[in-house]
Amino acid sequence: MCISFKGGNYRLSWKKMIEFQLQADSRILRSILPKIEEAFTLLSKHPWHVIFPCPTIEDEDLASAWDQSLEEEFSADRIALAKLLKGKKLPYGYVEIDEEEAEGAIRGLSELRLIIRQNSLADLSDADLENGDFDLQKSSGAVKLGYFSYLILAEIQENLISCLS
Amino acid sequence: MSLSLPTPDLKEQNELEVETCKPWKVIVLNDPVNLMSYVVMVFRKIFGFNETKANKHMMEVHELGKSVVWTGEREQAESYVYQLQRWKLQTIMEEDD
Repeated sequence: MCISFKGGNYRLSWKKMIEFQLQADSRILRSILPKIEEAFTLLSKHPWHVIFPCPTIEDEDLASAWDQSLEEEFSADRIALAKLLKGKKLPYGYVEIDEEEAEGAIRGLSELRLIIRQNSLADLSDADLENGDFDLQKSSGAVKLGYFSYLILAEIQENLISCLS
Repeated sequence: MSLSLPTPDLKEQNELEVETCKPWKVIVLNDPVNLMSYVVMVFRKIFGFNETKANKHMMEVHELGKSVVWTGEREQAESYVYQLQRWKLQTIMEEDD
């Protein structure tokens, strides 16, 4: 429940929250959260317009507006995702988010997985990553952390999609 | 005095009309990151596809590397590309042959 005060009056409103528990061991979760936070800081610096270009490049005005508008949308998604990642119960395996922000967080999770894929998991082929067909034991610590982060973010995204549908 | 007006080249005009009316294809490309359930959800949300149709296009993307998800006017195609990119799906558009 949310109470907001305005001009001496107060208004009660119900916020619909989405809550679920992750299957991942909370000890693993706590060990990868710093990695996830580190990846999150890279999002705003990434040149996303390379991956998501305006299809009409000959129109410079349109291309510039396209990039700017997408960047604004991505920033809004990151704010929603940041709220999810800062959840007090997350280190213990519980995800909480306002239903109205769930879509933004779902999109933000895709962006975060993309950046982990490009940075920490760059040595793995698409097929290996998709099938989990590689020897994790032989991988470096950074790859292990990246891979677990990648999987746990997928679990969060999958659960959010399921809650919304 | 006779005023000579240029005679419009009808052939050229027709070609121009055909050119501007040519349909455009919106094509979603495969990526190893986005989950199948995510792609299905995005297709349903943006195009209003039912589960079966959304699944069919998702499987095309997954197995063939791409899927033509919509064909039509250029402006609308651009709008769909934008929406799909907003959902972090790699999308391009091409003129239909």
